[in-house]
Amino acid sequence: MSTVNFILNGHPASAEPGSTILDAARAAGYFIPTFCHNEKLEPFASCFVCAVEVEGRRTLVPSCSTAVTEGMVVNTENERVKKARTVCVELLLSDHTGDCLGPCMTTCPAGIDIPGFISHIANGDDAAALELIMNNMPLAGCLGRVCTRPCETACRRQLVEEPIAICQLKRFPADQVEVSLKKVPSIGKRVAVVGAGPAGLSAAFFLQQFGVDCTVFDAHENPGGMIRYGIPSYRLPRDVIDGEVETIKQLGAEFRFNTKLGTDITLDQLREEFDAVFLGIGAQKASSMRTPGEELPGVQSGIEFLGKVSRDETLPIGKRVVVVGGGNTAIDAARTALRLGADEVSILYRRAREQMPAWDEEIDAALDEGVILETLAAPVKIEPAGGRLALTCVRMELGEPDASGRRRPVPVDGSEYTTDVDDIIAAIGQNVDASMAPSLELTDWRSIQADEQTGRTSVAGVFAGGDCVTGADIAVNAVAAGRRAAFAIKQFLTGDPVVGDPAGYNHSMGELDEIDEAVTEPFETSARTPMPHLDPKVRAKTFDEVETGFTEEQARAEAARCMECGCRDAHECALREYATAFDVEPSRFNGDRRAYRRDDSHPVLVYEEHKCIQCGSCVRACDELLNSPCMGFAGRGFEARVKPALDRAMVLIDDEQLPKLAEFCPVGALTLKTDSVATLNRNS
Amino acid sequence: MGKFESVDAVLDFAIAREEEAFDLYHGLASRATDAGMQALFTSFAKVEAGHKQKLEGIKEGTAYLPIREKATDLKIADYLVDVEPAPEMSFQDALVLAMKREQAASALYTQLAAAVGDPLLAELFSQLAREEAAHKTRFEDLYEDNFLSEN
Repeated sequence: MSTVNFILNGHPASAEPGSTILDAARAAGYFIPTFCHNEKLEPFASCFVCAVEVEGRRTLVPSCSTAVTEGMVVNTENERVKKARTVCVELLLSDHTGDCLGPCMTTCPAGIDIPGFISHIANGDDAAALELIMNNMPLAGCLGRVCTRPCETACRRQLVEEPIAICQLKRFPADQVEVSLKKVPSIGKRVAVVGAGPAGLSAAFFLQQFGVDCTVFDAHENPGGMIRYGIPSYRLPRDVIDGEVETIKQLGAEFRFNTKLGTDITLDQLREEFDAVFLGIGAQKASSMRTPGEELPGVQSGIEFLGKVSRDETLPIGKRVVVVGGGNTAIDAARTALRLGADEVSILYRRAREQMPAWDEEIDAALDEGVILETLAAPVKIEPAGGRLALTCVRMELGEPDASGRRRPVPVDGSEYTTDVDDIIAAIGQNVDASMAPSLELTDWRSIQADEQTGRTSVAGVFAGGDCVTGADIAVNAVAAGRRAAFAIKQFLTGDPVVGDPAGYNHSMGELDEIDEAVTEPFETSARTPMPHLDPKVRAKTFDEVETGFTEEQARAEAARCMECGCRDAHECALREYATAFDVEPSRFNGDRRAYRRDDSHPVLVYEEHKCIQCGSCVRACDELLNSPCMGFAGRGFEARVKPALDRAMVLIDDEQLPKLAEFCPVGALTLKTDSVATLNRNS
Repeated sequence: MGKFESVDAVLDFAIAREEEAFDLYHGLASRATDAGMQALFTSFAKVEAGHKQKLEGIKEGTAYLPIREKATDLKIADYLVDVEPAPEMSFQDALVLAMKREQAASALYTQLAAAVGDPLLAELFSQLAREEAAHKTRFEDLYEDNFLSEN
């Protein structure tokens, strides 16, 4: 008999005599997962993830070690098999210790490969660092200056002393490297992007790289949206914005400024003329204080003031300026007022400093420059006062905690006081003006209703992202939303399922307080590199950039502090691949996690025992191919572990072939030191 | 204060005020062109209808006014400019309108409590005042979360 005939998933199939079900099914184009199977090794059948159903057999069988026989009826894809595989992966994850991706990377809304780009900077390859950043974010120079750095809150280096200066490091390659990206051939689809702020620029950048022709419309005369008209140039020089927009133009995006949605163009028009529309119209409508006298000349909103100064940095201003509000816009407005020449600038905030939503470093910078912070005080009335303004305020105190535990500010009876000022800037928040797109469904909070993963709105072919969906938020969230929407729009245009760019499975060692001391133990203390900046006395008089950027020496030293959290094998790990594919529930079988045990004593090979899944591939490779006893099983049952011979440190194993074992490990337990955490051009 | 000779008369007065509020929000909801504002006004109207139902229950003897501790008065409404009800008003203005109406109702009941001679009726007015103050606090909390988050 030259072939064996059998039934595979309901269809007649044939295979060479002696073939395993695994080989026969794979030859027929079916996917069967495996951990312990390696074509160079004898079948071992230890992981059982390759299990299939053979009709007539009571239990599932391992396909890697079961030969196909004449007339056999095999099912490799039914629910029973899928469930068994899922359970198998969940059991392996139940005691797995390790991170797929570094906590910085999973915390970054844009999902930038942070350990990767920092590793490139440490190695002196700034071009590769920037390329890696730009896989997820087109505005590295801008965000490298103004991002509020959620990533740094998750950085494990703070368990040693301080988090890595991730954001400032992101700026470094953007300042050093001139970007030149090639235009991608058009797929013949056109998208209207409304809004040239972080969300719109990000959407256009990625869509152009998918071969989609974008026309970007913006109501302003220049690109940048809130990062130009809401952030002063001393924090973000305009040439940085223009340079990064130039890259998007090079990719083929066309820009039409001074074009307002709802006035110069309508959503219906765009929907007719283009194959899809992305709305990134921001939240640029200033909240009103509803305070009597608010309409008087000399009173303006923070965003209006910053917008005007963005167009003319010589704008006249009075001697005494009061800024109302505690957010970053209030701080920006106050520092800008000083630079325009005001003698005294105060920030009035109705709660305590600890409750200010503004970034702590920015508050400190404002105080260093001479801004006065007046907390627990709120404006109640504004009246004209002989060409000036009489501002009446009331003192506040924090009330008793309410049901949610918050202590809300309450006016102190009889504490009103009045002071004469020249300008009042109300920076108390912004909201979305969605009236320009009246056909769209809105949220209860009057922002555009859009799917978080794809940006899909209630109107087919119209996507939205950024502040107009979330309400006023940080720029990195807008950049991330623009990217996700670009993926979704491309899928929409090509008729694929619209899913955005879903994140793969991520295993984590946990929050900062859950991290084993052994993780940080090898790292010696090395202080975070402070960002060089202009002297407060000098800078308060000019719009020159305050933070001058790391020198090369500083950048390399800061990058070298990175602990490189995340797995070197994250993009090739079979455990992660299957966990993603099977959509596992990793906590289903919560057990004791393996103890963190990393051995990087060897000059080339790293062994992380806590990641091992006991597939035995390395042990068998030693035995069958290398003829060396360098790795073996120790212990029994749940306590069994794969260990170097005699449980020695890897460096003490005298075998030149040892590094070859890395290729047999299906997860990241055995990796080569040359396998950098940096992975260019590979999406997670 | 001849108007309020009995508990029922007081409750009828309070019920009529809740009806007025219901009519106002219901009218705004039917005239608002923005779907979100329609939903918001409808939710306000439902709240007022709930208050009315509760008062009717008290009148029939099937419900009691909740015993409320005096809540912290955030006094947000005290310092905001008045707004006129309009179908095209913004979310922010709608909250200002609502909190100011509840504030006015609470103030009215407080005055009536002081003016009415019967101690039983005075206590009922005080309870109604606290009830309206609690309603105002609910809108002030919402206002603080949405429009004073950076202030």
